[in-house]
Amino acid sequence: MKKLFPYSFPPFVSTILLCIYFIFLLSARLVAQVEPAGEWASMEIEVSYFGEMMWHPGAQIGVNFPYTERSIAREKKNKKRGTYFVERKRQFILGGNVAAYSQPNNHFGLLTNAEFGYRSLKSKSFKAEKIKFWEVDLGLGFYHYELAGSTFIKTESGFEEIKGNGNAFMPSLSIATGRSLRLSSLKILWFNKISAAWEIPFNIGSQYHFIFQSGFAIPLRENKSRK
Amino acid sequence: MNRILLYTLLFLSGLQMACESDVISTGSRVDELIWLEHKGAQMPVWVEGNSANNTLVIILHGGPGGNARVYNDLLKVMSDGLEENYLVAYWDQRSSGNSRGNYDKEAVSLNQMREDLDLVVDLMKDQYGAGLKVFLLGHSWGGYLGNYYLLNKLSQNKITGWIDVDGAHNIRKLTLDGLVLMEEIATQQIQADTEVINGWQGILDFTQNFDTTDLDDTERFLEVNAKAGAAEVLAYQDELIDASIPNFEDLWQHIAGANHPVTGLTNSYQIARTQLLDEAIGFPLTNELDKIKIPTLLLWGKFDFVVPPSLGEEMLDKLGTPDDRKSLVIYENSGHSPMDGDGAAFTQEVIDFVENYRQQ
Repeated sequence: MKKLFPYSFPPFVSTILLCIYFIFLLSARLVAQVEPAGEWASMEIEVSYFGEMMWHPGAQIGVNFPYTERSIAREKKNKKRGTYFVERKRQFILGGNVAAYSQPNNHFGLLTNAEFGYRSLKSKSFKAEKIKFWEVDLGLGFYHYELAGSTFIKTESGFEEIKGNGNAFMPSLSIATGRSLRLSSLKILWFNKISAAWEIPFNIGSQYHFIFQSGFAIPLRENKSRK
Repeated sequence: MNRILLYTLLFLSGLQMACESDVISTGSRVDELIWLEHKGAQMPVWVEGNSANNTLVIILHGGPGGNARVYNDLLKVMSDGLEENYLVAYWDQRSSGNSRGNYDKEAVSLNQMREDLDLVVDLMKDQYGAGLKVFLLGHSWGGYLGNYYLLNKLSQNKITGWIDVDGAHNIRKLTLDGLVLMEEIATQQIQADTEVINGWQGILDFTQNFDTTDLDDTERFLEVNAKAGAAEVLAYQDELIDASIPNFEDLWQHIAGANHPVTGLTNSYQIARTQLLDEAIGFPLTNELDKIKIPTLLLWGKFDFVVPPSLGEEMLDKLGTPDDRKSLVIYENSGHSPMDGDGAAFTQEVIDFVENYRQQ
């Protein structure tokens, strides 16, 4: 049977990390259940281009749930607009996603990721349909890769072809910015996101991955307060 | 009757052309990626080129911690020239280039690298036929690794010919001789009052003030190595050496193709933190070279401050290979990478050598 970590990664470390990973996923689900979503907040489906190193092409699909929210509205005045309000919303977001990418003639990567993020949205009352936001996310991911081409190991009877692959943990830190797009009654957010991720273990240490994403976060229900 | 004769002649000439065409195209173009998984490491071997001649050249990249894709993507004169005639295997050593996996630091050692290379040779013969003629082409660190591998007679039995390019078989000697060469050329260029005279003055000051009492220290070797790299840039600016500037397409291919730039940097960073270089510094191969008896071609750049030509001369003298089966070529327009500075002549020399021995 192929081990989850086929190399010299200590078993107790992999067990601990796996536990943390699943506790994280579970806690995300529990928090989502006990904290009612605010009127403004809605679960989102996230779909994006996923470019490892920007140019190794892939795609990501995920779910985001803003589980707490705080709103502040400030009155502003200027000569052109008169009195208007600037509304800021701060959300803590839990999410999960799956991404796949390919580096041709090298390897294919698959990443499942649980994310915890902070999102700050801003809109002005005279253009309430326009929302700008930025977001920071911490991710705890599990990475699997499949080597391109053929892989061989030496056995007593000669060389044997095997499936060349490997697994690693991949925590990440991401920054995203974006804005709303008005399509039918849904307020879709268009975003660009860059991430630094650490593949652990990698050879005798760890390896960085830089990821660029560009895509959409689509709310699953119409959000009245965004109108 | 005349018409029948004409058709017969046309048919025969067509047949002849078909046969000639067969001779040209008996080989098939190979473009494969094969990974060797061994003791925690997953090492890629890109095999490209012409299989017609049943001959393969394995590239042993520099470093330690270098990258075999450089020779494929950025040194096209050499790679295209060799691939037109032979199969070329671009192997990334463990903790180098695009290699992956997970293992302890202790697994990055001379003996482990030798074992890996032996398996790569066996794997290539397994994949492309037991009768495959295998040549090794080692550059810089790859020169050390190739020599280290070939000290074993069983290894020599698997290899048809050895091409050592600016190979670092004795790191202590190359450090000392590098200082001497840098001082000599710096003095010459300062007297010539070149445009980069200040740079040469810096090199001269460095060589004259460098304490040579403890050259077994890796840090001190790396200090000289860095200065040798700087001297090579000055030599290029003074047009002592030639170097090709890769076009955008090749550069983009190297960054965005099969090579992963971050993996290469990570590996390079990681391998520098192992004992591999210390081990190589502590085990100079000068007095071991007489064990190597296979045909050997030594190719060196005249202005190689990193591994000076004196190391090639020493190899020529110390190798156990009979005199008529070993030779040293020094390229006038080259520094540490003659496959770049004198690409066409270099490639032709390698082809001539391979042709000379592959059919024996």
